[in-house]
Amino acid sequence: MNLEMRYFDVSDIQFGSKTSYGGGCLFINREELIALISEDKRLRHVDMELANPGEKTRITNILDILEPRINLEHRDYFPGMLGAIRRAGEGTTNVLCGAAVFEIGSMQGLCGALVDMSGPGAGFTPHSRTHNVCLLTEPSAGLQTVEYGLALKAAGLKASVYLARATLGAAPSGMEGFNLDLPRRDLGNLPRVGYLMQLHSHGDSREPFVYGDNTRRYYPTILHPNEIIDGAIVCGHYNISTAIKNSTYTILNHPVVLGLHRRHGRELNFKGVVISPEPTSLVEIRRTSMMAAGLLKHVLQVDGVIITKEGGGHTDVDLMENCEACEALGIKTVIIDNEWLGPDGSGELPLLAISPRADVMVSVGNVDGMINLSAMEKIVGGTFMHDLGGDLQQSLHIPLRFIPNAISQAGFTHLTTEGR
Amino acid sequence: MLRIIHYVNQFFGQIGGEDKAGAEPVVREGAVGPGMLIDQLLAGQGKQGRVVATLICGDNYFTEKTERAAEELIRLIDGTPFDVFIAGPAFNAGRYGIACGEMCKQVKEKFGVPVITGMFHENPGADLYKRHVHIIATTGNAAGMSQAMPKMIQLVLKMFRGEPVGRPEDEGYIPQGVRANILSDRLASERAIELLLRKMRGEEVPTEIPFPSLDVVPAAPPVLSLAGVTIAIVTEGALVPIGNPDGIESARATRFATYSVAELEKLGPEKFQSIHRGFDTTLINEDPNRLVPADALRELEREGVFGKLHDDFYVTAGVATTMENARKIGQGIASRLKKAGVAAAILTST
Amino acid sequence: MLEKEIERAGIPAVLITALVPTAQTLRANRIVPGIGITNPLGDPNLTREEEKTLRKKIVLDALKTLAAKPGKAKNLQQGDVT
Repeated sequence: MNLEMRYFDVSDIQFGSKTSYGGGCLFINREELIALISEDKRLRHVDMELANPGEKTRITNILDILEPRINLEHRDYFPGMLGAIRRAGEGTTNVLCGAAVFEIGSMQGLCGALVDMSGPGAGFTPHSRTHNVCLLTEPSAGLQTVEYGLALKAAGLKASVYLARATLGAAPSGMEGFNLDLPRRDLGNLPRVGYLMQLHSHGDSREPFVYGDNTRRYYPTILHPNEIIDGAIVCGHYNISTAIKNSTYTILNHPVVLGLHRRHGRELNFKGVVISPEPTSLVEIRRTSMMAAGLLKHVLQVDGVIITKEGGGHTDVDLMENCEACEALGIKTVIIDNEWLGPDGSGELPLLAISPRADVMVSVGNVDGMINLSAMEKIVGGTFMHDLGGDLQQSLHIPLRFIPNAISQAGFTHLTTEGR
Repeated sequence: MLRIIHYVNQFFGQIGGEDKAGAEPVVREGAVGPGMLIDQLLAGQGKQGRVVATLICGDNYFTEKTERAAEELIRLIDGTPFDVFIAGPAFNAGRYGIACGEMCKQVKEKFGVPVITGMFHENPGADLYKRHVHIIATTGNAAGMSQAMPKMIQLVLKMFRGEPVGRPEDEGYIPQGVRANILSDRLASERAIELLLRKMRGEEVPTEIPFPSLDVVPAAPPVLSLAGVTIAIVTEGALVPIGNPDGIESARATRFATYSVAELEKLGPEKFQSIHRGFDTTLINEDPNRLVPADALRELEREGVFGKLHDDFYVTAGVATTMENARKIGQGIASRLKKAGVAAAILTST
Repeated sequence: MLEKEIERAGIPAVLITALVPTAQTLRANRIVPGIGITNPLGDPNLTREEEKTLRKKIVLDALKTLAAKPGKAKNLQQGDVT
């Protein structure tokens, strides 16, 4: 499978009479995009605002973050969700690099996130450095939370592809090829490494979509790494915190998949990815981990694996079961996980399940850690969030877990912990 | 000019020895005893700063009348402008250590200034206060004064400048037993890949999340016979009356509530729903017996399998609870059970 | 954790949970496996009557555990009793 990513760097976004891209600037026809999103009657009062790095702007009620992309051959993206079913990860994909689309909405039960484009909170999220197109929405009367989540998802996906169309015909700033096929001699004795990606599967609005389907219907299965970084998996979590889910942007730019891919043929032999659901009973968890480990050992034939999870403390159980199942087959494991240590960091139990076989774990930080944010001049998305209360424009003392990618279970963060 | 207030006991305050341990709180202008070392060290480093006032209190007076002593001492400096507070060091003197720890804690709370003290790691004050204030690790007795004081000054100046406090082994303080969020220079994914390649090469690699040592509680003795005993239900699934009248948190709980089993049996999902944030509550909201098994226990009670189902059931949310709060809630529930003569408890959790 | 705090006060307590490994990690003394995370004492695949029968069985296991000396934690599957 050969995937060519063409990067179109965005250094500014502005509203304009025509949606277009030129000289690093993405111009957006505001009325046209709002009209497109408003076609979905599940949403009303659709509006749009732009936020650029360095502005004294706070964006609230963020439910997912995406990246504008389009596949050249099919003129679509996110197969199975928005585009027709086809395999992701091959052909040519245009990316508006440095831009992001924000799904914004508020409803009791949905877990919003918050981004500061400047100030002390900015350094904890990559999105203070992306140029953000914020889709502001309200649910139609009587809309249930699950349906609102689906409507938001459709809006985010549509906007992402709509914006990426501006790159058609333009010249990219850079390109990168993703192809694992190398002659055997070039892979030689390189260590054979895999990635085990646990996907949350605890119900509607708490699961990502794989080619448009809910994860809880899946057994562990193998995906080509290209599929993951090219839109096969999309965030579908609306009622769990940003800290314990992976945004669509994070999945498209998956740091473990990209990190292994870029070392393929040089430091390691990247054999592939096993995606695995996180079931809700111990019997199912044990079956799933047995099968996942088997795929890694006997089909992909790896000797080492990175394991990540999604979700709260419950899924530490899945992590440990997967770790033990792999280590028992002789596969060396490294786990990435966040810690649960309370606001002062004094918690005695960093994870809700720990196995002595999990001897190498990378920490992405204490999810209960707090941060002081300064007052902001402008607020996008509303001054009230259900989980944080009202008057969000002033200075705040809030848990870090409200900032996207402050905690990142996919490892897309610099945050970690250290003894004090 | 940096203004320091220094706290010492009757001995270092040159009032007297053990015989003067009951000495009442006083304040003196400028430095006394080891405070003069503070002045010297600052001058020697070319820094503008000195001890503007010294608080002195007898160790017995402080430990026997802590609340009052602290109040009096605070009152003595209220109105004196100052920038940092230094106590001791207390080395291995237990009463002195507790006084230093408590004074630092209170001054920090009331005046919001950087505070520092120093103690030997076995000083009982160390365990009590290490999490509240920074305590420089000292030797067991005053012979270590000239090593301790410079470290105390260095760390409190760092805090005064608003710089983040570094690792215990670098700054010299007794580990507080906390893990702080910091920013690494590399992405977590990159660190993970590098560690995996090293582990695969057979190297001993460090882990970033250590295996915890957990407190083991010996099991309570079993009930001798189920006949005649009262059993209570406790749940971490946050099942509360609709509207959550007691304001039970749906995560990060700090307390529990008590509800009537009879009401649950009579009204079921009409009245009770789960507000737990950690999982999908649909199934439990359809039939709360799936979390609080009142129906099953009532039948077993009627069949005489056990004595009596306690009238009340106890509710909290078991997601992201800190150990300290879990302890508080557990103790609270346990004392209710004891008072009610409950012999044993069935806990349910997601 | 709650089970340990209640035991610390001298009252035997048993925890019914689907996540047995978590309870073992936390060193709970008495554990009885529940059915699912979202339904510790229920099973939507059964009729209400069958569910109640299963629930009674798990609760009976729990009661027996309260009257028995706690065993060593082992690799529990659903239906095991500590």
